[in-house]
Parts: sequence; C-alpha cells; structure tokens
Amino acid sequence: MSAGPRISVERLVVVSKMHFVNIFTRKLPESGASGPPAAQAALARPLVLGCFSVFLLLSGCGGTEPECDSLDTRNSVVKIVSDDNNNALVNYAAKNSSSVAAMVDDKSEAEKSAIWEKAKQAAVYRLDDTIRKNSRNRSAQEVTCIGLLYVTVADATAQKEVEFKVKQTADGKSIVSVNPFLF
Amino acid sequence: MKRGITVLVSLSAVLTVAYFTTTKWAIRHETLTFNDPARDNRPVAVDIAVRRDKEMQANAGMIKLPVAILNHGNTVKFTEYSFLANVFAARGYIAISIQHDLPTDSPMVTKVGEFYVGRQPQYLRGVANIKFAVEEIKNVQPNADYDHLTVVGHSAGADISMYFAKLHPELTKRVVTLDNLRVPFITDGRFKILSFRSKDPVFKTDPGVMPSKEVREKSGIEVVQTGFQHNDMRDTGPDVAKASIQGMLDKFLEDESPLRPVEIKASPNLTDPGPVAPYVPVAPTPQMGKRVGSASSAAQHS
Repeated sequence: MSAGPRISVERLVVVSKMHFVNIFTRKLPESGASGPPAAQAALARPLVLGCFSVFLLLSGCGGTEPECDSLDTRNSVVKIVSDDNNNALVNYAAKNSSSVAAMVDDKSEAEKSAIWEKAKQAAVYRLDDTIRKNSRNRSAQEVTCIGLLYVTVADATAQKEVEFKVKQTADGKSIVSVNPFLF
Repeated sequence: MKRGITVLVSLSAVLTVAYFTTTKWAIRHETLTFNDPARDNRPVAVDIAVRRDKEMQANAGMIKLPVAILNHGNTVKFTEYSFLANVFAARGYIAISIQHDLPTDSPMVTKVGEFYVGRQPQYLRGVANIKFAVEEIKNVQPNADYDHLTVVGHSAGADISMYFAKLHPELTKRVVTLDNLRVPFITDGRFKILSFRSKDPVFKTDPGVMPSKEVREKSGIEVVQTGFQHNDMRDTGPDVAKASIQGMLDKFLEDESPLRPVEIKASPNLTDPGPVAPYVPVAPTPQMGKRVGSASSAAQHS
C-alpha cells in the first residue's frame, strides 16, 4: 500500500466541530450552556451568512419561467395558426360549414376555390381562457402547454386542442412554437 | 395542556397515516388500454380504482363488485377525477374512468341549429367507449355487476352519462352528474339521479335541460347547488369543493332503496336527440374579422 499524504484525524475533527453549531440553540456541541452574548453573536454570524448564500444560490437557480397563459403567448399561438390559411382546423371548419357549402353549389372549380379561400380568410380564431401546462423543462427554460382553439368559418365553429411550446431565451425573450394538429 | 397537545398531535398523525393508507394502499389504481377492432383499433384507455380487500373478495368469488363509470369533461383527462373514483372505490365499487377523446379525433364542430350544440357525435362516441370498455373489463374482473351501472361525469362527461342512461336505461342504476349543460335530465324516475350544479358566470345550462322542482321531486332527482365554479369540479379544483362533493356523493351512495322496475325495450334510435331545445351558437359577424383573444363562449367549451 502506497503511503499517501497523512492527514491528522484530530485536525479533521476540530474542523468539523467548527461547523456543527446547533442552529436552534446556537450552541457548540461541547458547550453545556449558552455563552456570553458576544460569543453568541459570533456564532450567529456564519449562520446568517450561510442562509444568505443559500438564498442567493436558490434565487439564481430559478429565473423567470416562460408562461403558457401570458397575453403575448396567447397572441403568438393564434397568430401562428391563423397565418397558415390552409391549417387543418380552418379547413375542417370550412368543410363543415353549411352556408359555405350552399355558396359553392353549382359553381366552377375556380369559383369554388375562391369562395373557400375567402371564407377561410374571414375565419375567426379564439383560444380558450383555460390553458394547461403540460410539462416543464427547467434546464431548457421551456414549457409545453395545451389549450382549446376555436375557428369559426361562417356558420360552423371547429374546436380542437392545440399543443404549443414556450421557450425563454437568455435575453428574456419568449419563443412560441405550435405543434401540428394530429387529426 | 402538554398532554392535550400530545394527544392532538398523535391523533393528527394517526389520521394522516390512515388517509395515506386508504388512498395509497387500500385503493389500487391501474391504467389499461384496449383497442376496439370495430373502430379501426381505436385505443380506449381506462383507469381502474378498486379497494384491494374488495378486489380480493371478488377474485375469490365471494362478492360482485358494483360498477361506476366515470366520464371526463371536454379537454380534461380521464385521470383527473381521482377524488370521485376514490369515493366509489372506498365504498367497494370498481370505478372505471374512460378516456373518451384522442388527439387524432376530428375536431368538434358546432353549427347553428344543431342538436346539443353539435355535440351528439361526441356523446355517441362516449357511449360506444363505455360499452366497449365494459365488455373488456368483464374479462379483467368478471365478478362485478355490469348490468347495473352507476354512470358519473363532469361537464361533457356528465352529458355523456345522461345520454348513456337515456339510451341504456336497462343497464343504468344511478346517474351522478357534475354540471351537465346540454342533455336534459331523464324524468321517468327509473333510476336515481344526483346532480351537482355550479355557480359560474361562463358555463350556463342550456334551456330545457333542468326540469322544474316539482318534476325533480316526483322523479327522484336530487340537485345540489354547490356555489362552486364549473371547472372546480375536478382534481385541480379547490379542496373545499372536492370535499363537499365527496361528502354528498358518499351519502347518496348509501341509499340502497329499491328502484322502480325498468321496462326493457329496444334501444332508441341513436340519432334521436331527445326533447332538448337546441342551443344556437352566435354566428360570426363581418366586423368580427380575424381576431385574437379570449372572449368567453360558455356554450362551446364544457
């Protein structure tokens, strides 16, 4: 067995004792009674400093978490979906609209296409008040969320859950991405 | 004084242990997924809650477990009603919570003049899910009474429950609804109905759903005006709401008085909407245009 650096066991014990302060009584383990006020203050100081360090550490860990339900997030989700004029939900609503169906009846293909497009462009989008947080990734500073999205085309309103991700960048900006519909 | 505090602390500790023992050990939860070949192998997930001792007795053929079917609300998951499932399980039921909708399902469409605001396809899908799940669970736990179901639901799930009872009175023993807004109550007194109502500025019951007080009394329909909001009636709701519902539900289940005999007939036409005044959603006006935001529309989400 190779002889490594020898550490005095006695020294280790002494070092340890310096930190074993009863935080409730502020007594050193070997002292039977509370010491004079000056000694107590000296013991309390490292405790306060320690707590402060822990507080700083914890507050540094947290940061601000991206929000599912902020106005910016909500607007972004609706904008992302509605900017795609050919999204699955608006197509479904248009296909199920009786009034649009009545308008395209007996029309040429080109006319039909124009009516469909016009109806979809006039679609009304609304994200439901209730947004659920689905998952959270603290290290990546992102959350996944689910909300109910309504699209009204003429007389038909189609509703489907939409899943989206909100990621916070280092400069505090939020990036929203919407998962495609699965139906 | 010191002894009093000790007794109080000990009692609290015992109660806490008892609570965790009951919820974590005495009641077993299991999630299973079945595929329905009749519907393109549609996956139907169920969460089963059952008291271990009752399950052992049923497995030994000593008892038949009463069955409760739990139906979730629109966009709520089937696992989010454990506060209800645990009440049934604690009373010796096998509580079966069913996942009714899937991300791959077509969107729900509401149109002016449609029955039940256009939700009938969802109710029919729910009924099909219940019937399929029951048939599958029979293989898992044969010693349960699948001919006398207690159907329970919240919001859209409450409407599914009422609709199931309407289509299958011969299979229904009790109905418990937490704010059904679309499907009218069944008033022929064939089975007991308990309904918790919300006090919500957004979610309103459609006209024609709630019978008059006289009719309710004659039909044995018990209505509880809770004062809680519509979305409080699930696991994520406040404890006070859940505890209050649990207490009243437990009392309701205690009542085992005999039922009026059910005349068994062929199931009504599945497309028969029943005596409901259809709710008419507001059609978009030209000035609404493409907009963002969250104006309330109680009629469409529940």
